[in-house]
Amino acid sequence: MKKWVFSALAYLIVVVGSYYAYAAIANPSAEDMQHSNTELHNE
Amino acid sequence: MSEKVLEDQFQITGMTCAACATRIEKGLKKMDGVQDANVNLALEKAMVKFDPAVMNPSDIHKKVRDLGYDVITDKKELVLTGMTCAACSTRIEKGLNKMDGVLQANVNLALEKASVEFNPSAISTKDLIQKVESLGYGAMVKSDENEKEAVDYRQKEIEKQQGKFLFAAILSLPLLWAMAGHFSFTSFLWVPDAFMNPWVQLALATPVQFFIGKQFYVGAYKVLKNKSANMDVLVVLGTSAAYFYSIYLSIQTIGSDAHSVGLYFETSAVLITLIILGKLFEAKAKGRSSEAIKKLMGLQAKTATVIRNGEETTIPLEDVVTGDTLLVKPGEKVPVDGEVLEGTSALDESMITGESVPIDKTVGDSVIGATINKNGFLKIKATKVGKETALSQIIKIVEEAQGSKAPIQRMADLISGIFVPIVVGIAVITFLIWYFWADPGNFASALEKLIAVLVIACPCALGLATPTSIMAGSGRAAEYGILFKGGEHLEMTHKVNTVILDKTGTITNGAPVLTDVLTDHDETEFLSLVGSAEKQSEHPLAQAIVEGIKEKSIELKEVTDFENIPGYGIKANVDGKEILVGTRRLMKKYNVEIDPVLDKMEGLEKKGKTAMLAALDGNYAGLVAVADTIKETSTSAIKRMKEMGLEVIMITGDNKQTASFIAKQAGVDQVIAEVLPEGKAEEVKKLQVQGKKVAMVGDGINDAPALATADIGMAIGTGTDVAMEAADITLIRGDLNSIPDSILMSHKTMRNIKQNLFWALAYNTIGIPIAALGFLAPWLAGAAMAFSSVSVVLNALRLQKVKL
Repeated sequence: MKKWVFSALAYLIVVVGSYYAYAAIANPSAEDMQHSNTELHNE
Repeated sequence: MSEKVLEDQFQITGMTCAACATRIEKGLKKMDGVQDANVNLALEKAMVKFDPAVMNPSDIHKKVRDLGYDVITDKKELVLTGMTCAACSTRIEKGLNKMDGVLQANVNLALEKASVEFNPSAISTKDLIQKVESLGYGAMVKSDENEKEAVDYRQKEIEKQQGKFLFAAILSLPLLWAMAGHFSFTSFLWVPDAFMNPWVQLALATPVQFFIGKQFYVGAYKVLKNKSANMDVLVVLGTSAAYFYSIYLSIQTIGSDAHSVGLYFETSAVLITLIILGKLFEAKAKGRSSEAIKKLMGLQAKTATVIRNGEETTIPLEDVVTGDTLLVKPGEKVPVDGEVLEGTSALDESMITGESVPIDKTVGDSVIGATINKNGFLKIKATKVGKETALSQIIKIVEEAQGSKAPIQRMADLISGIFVPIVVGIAVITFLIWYFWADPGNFASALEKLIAVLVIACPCALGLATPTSIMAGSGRAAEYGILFKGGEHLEMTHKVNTVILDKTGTITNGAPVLTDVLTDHDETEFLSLVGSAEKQSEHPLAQAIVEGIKEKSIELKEVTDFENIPGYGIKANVDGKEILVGTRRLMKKYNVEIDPVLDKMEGLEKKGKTAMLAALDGNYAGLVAVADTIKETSTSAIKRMKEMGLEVIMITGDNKQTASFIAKQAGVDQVIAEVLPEGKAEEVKKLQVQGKKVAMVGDGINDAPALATADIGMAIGTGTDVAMEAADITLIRGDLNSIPDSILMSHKTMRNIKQNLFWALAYNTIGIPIAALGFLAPWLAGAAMAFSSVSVVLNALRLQKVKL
């Protein structure tokens, strides 16, 4: 069971880490991005 | 007649001459659909050419039986793997039943077992397994070894599903978080930037969709390949629609500043996570519902102390053979069924018979395996070992009952079989209505409704509704010493409104006991003389007298010149006195004056007692009477049945006077007396013609025809005799209270099944329109679907706590 939990957490960290690494390299101002363009989910 | 003609071989038993063969041949040829039939008396085989479009082998089987013969069939239990829902079990059942040579196949989703009756001349077990495998599932013949394998497999599967659930939950949580942040009422919620990114969402949803969800894709592929559908198809359709549509939308965001554009990655991932969670709960609950069998198996002793070549050794239970001498110490379990060779003790038989008072055992008495020796040392001879023991027979009956189907399940099977294609149709119509009419052009909104309909409609709960209740109900009944032989009997019993009770052995103890002693002499001296003389006789009434005298701790004396006078009685010399014990005729023969006691004798006979006169040295000395006595619990049990609104009738071969006396004592108002054993079945039929649902209760041997004729045959037995084979229900306790208990259990089980079916159908019938109208988000539909299965199983488990 532990291996499943560790695998999932490791994968999550890799994905999120990759995103922030990419965001930092490709678009340094990404963190200032406005969320106003985000469409609302069907409520 | 269709062009396809099958030729099958049937092994027939019961033929004695050529006329039998001709009779069967003629009978078969007359059947609609049979082209040719050839019966070989020497080989005891019938070759039948028939049109499978018109009839099936089970019709031939039935015809042969109707003609008074039998066809040899084999019955095997297969352990199945890979079933996910009711549609799977229905598919396997249909597949097996369609096989040439299969007479009847029953698949139990909850037990993951198939019970197949087939013609061994036409097909083999290997063919059955191949058929199941060709349908996309796994099968193996049930044996103790692979039963254990299957249990291990299930345990591993549960652990694997737990891991998968945690994996899917960890990856779905960020997606759910991101979705939660989208609602206006949750706008205060901070959502990490990464979780809003479509490509991060894709990266998180993909392993859930294809790695964790692989089992659904594989399952769906297998059934679709066989031109069928099950819940996997619905899950795959629903989640794939959400996943691929989200990819399409994600691609649209390339070059745009928008972070997320109403993606549905969380829908597919959360759905798969919830469905796996539901299956996990279901698997765990299903494990609990087979606890009755585990409890019964746990009753067995693990080892036995055997005396071989004069030495005491402890050996595993499996190594005990019939004829072994076993030693049972106080506090130990009796390892197998046997007969006491030495010693006396009280045995706790409550686990088998439900009787709470320990039963005294002495030399010559039989003992049941798994019962507990309370105080003395016993040396026993093993008479039944392995699968022949009473406990093994009980386990077999309970297993068969749990694996059988109640007629009410046919409706659920019928619905499950056609459900998936109908649901897909409804989902497509829902999509079209939303896309073209309700919310024109809004593809996302229409797709959401389609997914919700697909997911809420999985028929898992429907498939589990009946078998889980039958398993729990029959298992609980077994703990009370009531063995239902099948789901159909569990269903039928609650309809019973008339109970016919056999007198001897059912209402009464079935064994005569000494009831009256009338003498002018010293009673102890008189009984000592009578007992000493009767001890030499083999007659059951004589034995009853001796037993009664022994119980009074009266010493018996030496006997000389014993003479048995058949039809009259006995003559013997005790202590130098000539003693006669017997009928009026015996007294007349020896010119003994008995006129003054004739009135008393008749009075006793009117009460159903058998009186025997005794004379000492040619003079009347007294009389002893024996009678079959009413069981302690019979009166209260009959009162209970009457209070339940049941019509209670006593049936007996005894004369009306005796029968009425016993009936009055027991509280039975209606009596059918002077009926021969074969006439009992006729009496049952007469009541059935009046529209009554009749339960016949008897000891199962001479009452067999009546037990078979009745709507429900209940055999009172200790679980060791033929009765268990003959009846629909075996009441292990001799107590008549088991009759109202079994009816009550049937009522409770049926109510539970109906509740389950109601909820299962309600989930679908209410859930589908709600989802189609757009009031149910897909993830909520997934949660409701998972909850429906779990709630059905949990409701069934309530039966395990029923108190009778």
